[in-house]
Amino acid sequence: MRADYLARRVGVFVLIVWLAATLNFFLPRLSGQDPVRATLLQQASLGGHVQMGLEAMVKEYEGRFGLDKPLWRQYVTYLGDVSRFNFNYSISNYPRTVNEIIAEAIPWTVVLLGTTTILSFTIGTLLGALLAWPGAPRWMRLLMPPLWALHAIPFFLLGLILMYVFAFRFQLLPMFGGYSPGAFPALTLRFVGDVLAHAILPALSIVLVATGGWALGMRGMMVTTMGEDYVTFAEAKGLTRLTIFLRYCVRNAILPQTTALALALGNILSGAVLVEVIFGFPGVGTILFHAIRENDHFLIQGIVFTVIVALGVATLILDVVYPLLDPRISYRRT
Amino acid sequence: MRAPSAAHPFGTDRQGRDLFAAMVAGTPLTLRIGFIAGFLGVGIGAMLGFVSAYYRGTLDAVIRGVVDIGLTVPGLLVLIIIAVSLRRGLTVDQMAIIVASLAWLNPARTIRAQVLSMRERGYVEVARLSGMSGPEIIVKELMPNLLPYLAATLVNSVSAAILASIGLEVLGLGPIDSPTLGMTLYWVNFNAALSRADRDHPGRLSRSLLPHGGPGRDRQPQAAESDLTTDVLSVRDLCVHYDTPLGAVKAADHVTFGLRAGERLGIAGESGSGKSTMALAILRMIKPPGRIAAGEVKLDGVDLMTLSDEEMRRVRLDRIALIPQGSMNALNPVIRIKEQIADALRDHRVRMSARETETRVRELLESVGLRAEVADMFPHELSGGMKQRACIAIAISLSPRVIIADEPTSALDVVVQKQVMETLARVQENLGASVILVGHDMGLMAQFVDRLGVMYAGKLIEVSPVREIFTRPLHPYTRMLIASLPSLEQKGTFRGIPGLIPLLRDLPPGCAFHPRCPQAFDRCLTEEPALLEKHPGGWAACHLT
Amino acid sequence: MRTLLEARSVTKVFGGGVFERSSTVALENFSLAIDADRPSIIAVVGESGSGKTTLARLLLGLTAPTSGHVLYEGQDLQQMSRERRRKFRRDIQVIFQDPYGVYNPFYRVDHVLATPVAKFGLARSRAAARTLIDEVLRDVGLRPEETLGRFPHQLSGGQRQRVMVARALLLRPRVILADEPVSMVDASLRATILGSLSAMHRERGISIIYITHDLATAYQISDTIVVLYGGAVAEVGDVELVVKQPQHPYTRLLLSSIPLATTARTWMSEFATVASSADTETGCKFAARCPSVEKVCRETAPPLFKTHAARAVACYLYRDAPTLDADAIGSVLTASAAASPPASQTIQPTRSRP
Repeated sequence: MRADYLARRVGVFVLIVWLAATLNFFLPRLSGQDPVRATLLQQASLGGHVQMGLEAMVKEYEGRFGLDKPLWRQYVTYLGDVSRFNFNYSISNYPRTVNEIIAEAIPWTVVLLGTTTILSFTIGTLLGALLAWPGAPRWMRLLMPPLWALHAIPFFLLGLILMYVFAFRFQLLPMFGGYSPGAFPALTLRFVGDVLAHAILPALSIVLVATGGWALGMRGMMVTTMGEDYVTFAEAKGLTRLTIFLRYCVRNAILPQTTALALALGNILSGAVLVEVIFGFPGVGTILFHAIRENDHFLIQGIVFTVIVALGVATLILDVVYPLLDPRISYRRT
Repeated sequence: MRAPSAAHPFGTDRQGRDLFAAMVAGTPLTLRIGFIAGFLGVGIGAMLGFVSAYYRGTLDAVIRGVVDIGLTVPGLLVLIIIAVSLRRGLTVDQMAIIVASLAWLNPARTIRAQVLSMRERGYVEVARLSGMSGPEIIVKELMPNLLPYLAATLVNSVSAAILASIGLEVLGLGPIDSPTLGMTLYWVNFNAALSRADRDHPGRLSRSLLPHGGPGRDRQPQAAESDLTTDVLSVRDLCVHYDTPLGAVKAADHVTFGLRAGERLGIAGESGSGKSTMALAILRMIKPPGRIAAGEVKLDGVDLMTLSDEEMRRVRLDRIALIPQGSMNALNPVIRIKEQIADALRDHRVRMSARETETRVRELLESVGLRAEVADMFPHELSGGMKQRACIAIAISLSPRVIIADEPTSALDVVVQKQVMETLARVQENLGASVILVGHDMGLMAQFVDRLGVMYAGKLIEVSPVREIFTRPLHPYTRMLIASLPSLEQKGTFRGIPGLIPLLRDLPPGCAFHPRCPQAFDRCLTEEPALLEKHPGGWAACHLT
Repeated sequence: MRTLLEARSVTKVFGGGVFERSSTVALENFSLAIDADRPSIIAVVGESGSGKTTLARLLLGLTAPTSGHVLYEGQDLQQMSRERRRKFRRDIQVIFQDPYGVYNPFYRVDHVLATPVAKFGLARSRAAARTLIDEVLRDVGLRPEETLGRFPHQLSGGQRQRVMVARALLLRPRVILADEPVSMVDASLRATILGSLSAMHRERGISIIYITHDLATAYQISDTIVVLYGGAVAEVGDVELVVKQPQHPYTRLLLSSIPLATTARTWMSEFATVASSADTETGCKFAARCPSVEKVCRETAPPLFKTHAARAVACYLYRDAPTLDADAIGSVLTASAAASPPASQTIQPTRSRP
């Protein structure tokens, strides 16, 4: 049963990656233009530093992609490149490769997104469980309206508000970037502190919004779970409130919450991209923003593909972990 | 670029465009995108959801597959690919369509799930048998019930579409020539925020965007007096009320009975008679809006109503155990059987090593006729009868004085029912415990209990030894209830009780049974009969006897 | 014999498709026939997993058999023309188990009665429709003025189930399939609903297929009985014979498991059994639980042995009797109908008093 389940999950993952790559390949071609030449020419017409290498680049790309060959040959070559994560050069940052640029940005995003997602999921789930629990202190109910409000705000709007209050009005925290201009990346206390100070606002704007969502979701699930027969029977068993809360209510209510996490990853990521842009945080989102602005087709493709693969992997991990939480799952067909 | 002022409440951007004016002009455009995309999304999603769930089969599999995969992919990124490919000369409406291209996924998934759960309802089948066609059933039977849900989905969908469009536009992938809200943000960002020059003057963006200065019935029948002193459990005048806007509903009204050591007492009644409420009230497990309004429940002379919550908790399972209804999912689906027994032991401070606990769990399971391997299983791996045996094993784990079995075999097949009841009888005899069997099956009562109480509309109307109740019932209701049972001996011997079971919130005056009673007379219409001992051991609440 | 509704060697297998790893045989080689000229009440009795729900769906044409045929007036349900199908839909009516789910909460109770009137053109005018509806409601012991115009949640389970009986009656069907019609109704109201059913049989000549898990009510209202176990017929025949002198070990077990509402306490045995083991894959489905099991039982499923003109048993204990083709099951059913007086006349339906 397990192997079956795993195989199906991996299959879906491969399918998604393939679809993403294919979409990436065909959609730009739908506009009927030669993607490389069009982009390069446009870049050239804007003038500037890339002009000198233009002809060489067009040759380079045409040779590499075989743009004179039939479409299906191009497609096969493309799939081959993509499967090796080979996205060639960035147009706007020639001669740097797309991979180099992405590799530089990824740690920023992974740390920001990883920390905030884990934090907001944990805090939100716990808060939601307590909000539904009759034994929790009464003042906790006061948290409901702010959670509703936060939940309704998009990430980037809260980001702007936080930026206005903490960075502009009170000037407590830096406003832009991943570290102060002029600071040299090094593993010194000073630099780490500087990075943290820059990360607080972007992180906060994600954590606050997401926590509200997780708390409300968990609260709903807890209310349903507390009405289940096994909770009534647990009480008739004379179990302590703590046991009933943790092992019977939270333990079951967290299952749909985990499923929701897998579904929400895409949305969290979309929101985080915008937060990065607002704060000029040097992660993948900001790179993407610049790439779009400068029409850097290959960089856009590289980022989009990388992100989809990363998300697929994250979803896959959640899917594989889920049967450990819910023993019924390996029997169920999806 | 100027700061907010009286003339420009939100300030201006670098080109000197008034941001307030930009927002006034942009809001309708953004709303337009949101509404077009939202409506398109819900429209397409609803259609696919309906078709997928109603017709099922291959079509459903294909639609579901596409939707599942579509939802796994981060929407914004797909929209980026689409928008980048098409972006030159994008209009507001094209923008809306781009957003809509993914907006149908979520509605399709949720509406499909809703329709799927609804099409299993009996009324769809009835409509088909009444001659309705498929599309007609969708429109006339399913749609009306889905309308509120569709409306909610629409609101969500529009707001999601607005956020998605703003997201795209902030990245510069919007209709360049239209001042939608997101494009305004983009121009501000493009021109100011992210230019390197601005890093040194980090105030402008916010100043230009945000407003300056702030973020923004009462007669009591006489209680039956009997030799309750020797009883293990004595319930006296127990009243459970449910508070409703129309006043308190008496789910159990002055219920009084005693339970002797080792005795099997049955409490029988139809739906709404208050039998299950009474079972939960003895364990003090009535949840709001219900409450125990009055009465006492004495266990070995101690009134449980006077105990603290913590003391009461320890009484449960240790002194009074519950066997839940057979139709319930009373076992935690994600915890192994052995742990569900072990946590009961642990919370009652039974000091045992892990090995001892393991041994005890196996003993308990074997004593109810289950194999020891069941300990390591999850509830979904057991059949209905096995689950119920596991519940019995939990109930007897601390050798209680009283076992309350609330319809323990409902939803089980008769063959399995017999096995489960035999198991219950045996463990009871081994423990010397008393049993209260709550149920509606008079046959089961006749075969299992020693004494039987019959409840009607929240009141105990007869308590007699079981042999007597089936030979010479005292209350007309008991007599008619027994007569309504089909026999296997001869045909044509069963006859229903005319009329309807009264609603607790709207009880007739006098005896609650009088509208259905063939022997009712004047007194029954006005005076409520008290539960009185009519002959030694036989109690009834009826004016006739 | 002219058959009205017939199941001919029907087998239904669930699963086993390309993407599924296991399949379940819900019903195996099952046959049943209802005589067009001699209306009867046939009870189909079985526990969970016996295939009785599948049988109901097959007889209604809601699901197609994996092999075999379900015939209405000699025509296969799966190959019927639109017109014929419409007639079939009208002639065979159903009463479902759950009197709650069969009502659309959006509409008043009237909806379930008005829809068939409109769809099958049963009345020419509004007034005629109302008269028709009032009439059938009274027939099942309900007062129209207290029933119509209400929402389902305002009626009790017993009332709702009687409205469903009225709905079936409205279409003047030839067969009513009652799928556990009283299992969710309180005991004191069951007799009333079953009484309405047998009155329909008696007074209007409607055949009734009563599907249930409850042998006692089956005994009370039916002429003939089919006992199902694990998707196959265990015993079939005259209800008096089967209930009073059960022959199949399963029928005996079933009968001895029913707790009787009498003071003779013989139900419980001293030795509580261990939870029963799984059924066997081949051979007799009951072999694993059977006290009289032989070697052959585990190898080959037994055919039906005709132990009496009005009874057949699928058990090797009766291998001396002639075997009966599953297709010929109708002969046993009609024989029993002739051998015993119409049982239903002895049941007195009770009506609700004002």
